[in-house]
Amino acid sequence: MSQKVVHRKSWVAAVVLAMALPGLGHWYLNRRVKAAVFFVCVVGLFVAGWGLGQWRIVNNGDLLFYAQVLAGPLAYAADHISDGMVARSGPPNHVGVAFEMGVLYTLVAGLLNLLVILDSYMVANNIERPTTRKGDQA
Amino acid sequence: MIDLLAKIFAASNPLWYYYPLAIVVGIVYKTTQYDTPRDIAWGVLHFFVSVTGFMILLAIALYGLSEWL
Repeated sequence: MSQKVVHRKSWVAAVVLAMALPGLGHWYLNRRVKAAVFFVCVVGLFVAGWGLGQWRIVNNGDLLFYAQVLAGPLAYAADHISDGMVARSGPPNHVGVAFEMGVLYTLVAGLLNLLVILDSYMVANNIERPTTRKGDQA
Repeated sequence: MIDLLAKIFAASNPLWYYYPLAIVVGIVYKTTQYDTPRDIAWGVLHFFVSVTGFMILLAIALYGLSEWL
């Protein structure tokens, strides 16, 4: 965890921004590189999983959606597009490993964004994690 | 594009699905934990090797158990 002190930054704004878009909370807290890493990893994993699932695995109403939606409003956009895909081409074709891994990717992307949201809260409040190595630099 | 990559890599070996997932989880987790690129890189390597090693050990143990039963 960073030793950098963050002044005059609201943790509420950081958390809300992190929920709105992966990495945006860290961008607000002036952690630009970390923000870019989080955005690329979380959104990339979500989109890759969505693609592996034939662009039809995000469905608002499934229990899985509660984990997928942690990736932010992106999940709602994916749900909307998935609905269109299902209407045009029918329900997803359960073809095995790729489809299942696609579901797993989107779930993990959502859960990783939860970690990013919690980290933005901790950075905004200058809370150090107990697992931080001694001597880490900001 | 994603389908094509999946066909090229994962069709021959489904473990190709696992590698990017483990690496991305490691990058995000270690980026929240550390600040310097060096610490993050070593952390990701440590995370990846630990998780993969544990899964291999688990696979060996389960294989041995299935043979024994």
